Amino acid sequence: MKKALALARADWLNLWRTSRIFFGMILLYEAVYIVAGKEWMFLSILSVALGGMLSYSAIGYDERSGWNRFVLTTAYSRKDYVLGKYLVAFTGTLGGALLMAAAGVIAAVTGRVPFGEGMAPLSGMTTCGVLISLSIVLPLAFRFGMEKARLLNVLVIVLICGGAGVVAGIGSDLAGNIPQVTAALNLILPAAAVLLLALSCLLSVRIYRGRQF
Amino acid sequence: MADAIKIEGLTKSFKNFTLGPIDLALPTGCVMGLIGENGAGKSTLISLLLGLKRPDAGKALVLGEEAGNDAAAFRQKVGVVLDIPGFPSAMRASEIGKLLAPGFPGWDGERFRALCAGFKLPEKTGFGSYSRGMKMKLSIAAALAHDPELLILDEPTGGLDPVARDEILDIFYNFIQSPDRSILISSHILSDLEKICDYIAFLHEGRLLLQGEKDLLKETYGLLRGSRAEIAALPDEAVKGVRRTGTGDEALVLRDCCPEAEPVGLEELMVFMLRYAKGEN
Repeated sequence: MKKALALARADWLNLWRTSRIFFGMILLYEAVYIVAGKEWMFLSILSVALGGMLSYSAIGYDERSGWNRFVLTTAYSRKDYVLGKYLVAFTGTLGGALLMAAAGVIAAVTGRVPFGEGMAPLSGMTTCGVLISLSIVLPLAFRFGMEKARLLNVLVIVLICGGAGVVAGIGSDLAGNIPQVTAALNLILPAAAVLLLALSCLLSVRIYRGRQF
Repeated sequence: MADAIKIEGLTKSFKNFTLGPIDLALPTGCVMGLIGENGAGKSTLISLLLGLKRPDAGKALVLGEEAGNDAAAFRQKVGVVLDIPGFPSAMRASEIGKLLAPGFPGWDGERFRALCAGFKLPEKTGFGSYSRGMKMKLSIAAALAHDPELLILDEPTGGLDPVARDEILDIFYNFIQSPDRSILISSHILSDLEKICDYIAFLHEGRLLLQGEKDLLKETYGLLRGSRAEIAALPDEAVKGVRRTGTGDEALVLRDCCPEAEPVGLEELMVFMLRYAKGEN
């Protein structure tokens, strides 16, 4: 894990220098939400997705520079490399979610939106959705490369959004009758998302061990 | 003497190209030059030795262990420079040193810094903005900084000016002074290989056309110039290739049969062998 952390740190440094525009966009979205209020909540939500997707940029940069190949000749193993990228994905998503939460608090404190209204469940739901999306796309990236995985990413997002709509519909119907369902979903969904990410990581390690350069 | 690299029947097939079967040994303490035209299979062979590709058949032992072993203790012993030097593009030399250090137990940060300074690598510039020569120098510094026993180098002097190449060859020459160290180096710049190699392995269309001690190869083959009639009169088995020129013919010959032949350089040997192999003489 120490080596994976070192690789993730290097990724964040590299991303900070090459993708400042992404970080700028995230901060801008949060600022717009804080100033403009509830109607602009979707912009705040985007910061979670952008945070998670920075891991795609990290993989893409490595493929372009050849680091994904060269790193395997150093003392870092294929497993270290994959774990590093999952750390970037997880911390990026979490960072985006924390920024979103912070923006929500600021917007509430400054009286732009009613305190806590709708933000927490939406934030949680988005974070889970992004983690699930990452769980599907990252193994594809390790198998086919980031360019192809990015194309599949669009399909994955459509499927997840559609799936989330169906689940939300069923959930709200059930929740109307059984209030415990909402509480259960609030626990099950994050746990399922984290579990799925862990399983995806194991799958990616397996895939990457078989990849040839 | 144990072999630093031992390859037996190594084969790798692609859609339009097959490498091997290759049998090759690099004795410890020696330098082997891997030569051949573009697409001959040099980089594929190096990828197989590094575990970046997996063979379809045969095996390769690197320092007595199976190629592709990703244990840190093993990687510590092998320094690598690839034809495409790849480090994260925005990282500076010092940051790359810090990135590599946790993996290698024997990482010598001071040596890495000294090599970077010696190569005059800019401190504030990201790797992506380096020239190809600078990238190669940084790769070489990284390969040497963990005190390896074996260097595997794919075109390490490509893109460097003659002075820088000479400087780097000196570093390799100093590296090899210790009898337990070895180098496998592929290059198109045969004059570089001629300076430092003990052994030559000549790949052509995925097969080993020739391998052996460099000095022995140079003793075995020679270059003979003469009129078309004189060259045509040579015994068939002695002639390995003929180049027609405006003033007569040049023939690559076995010096046993033609003792008057002049010593041949690696570049001429390669050109003649390829022409002979291709039947273009």
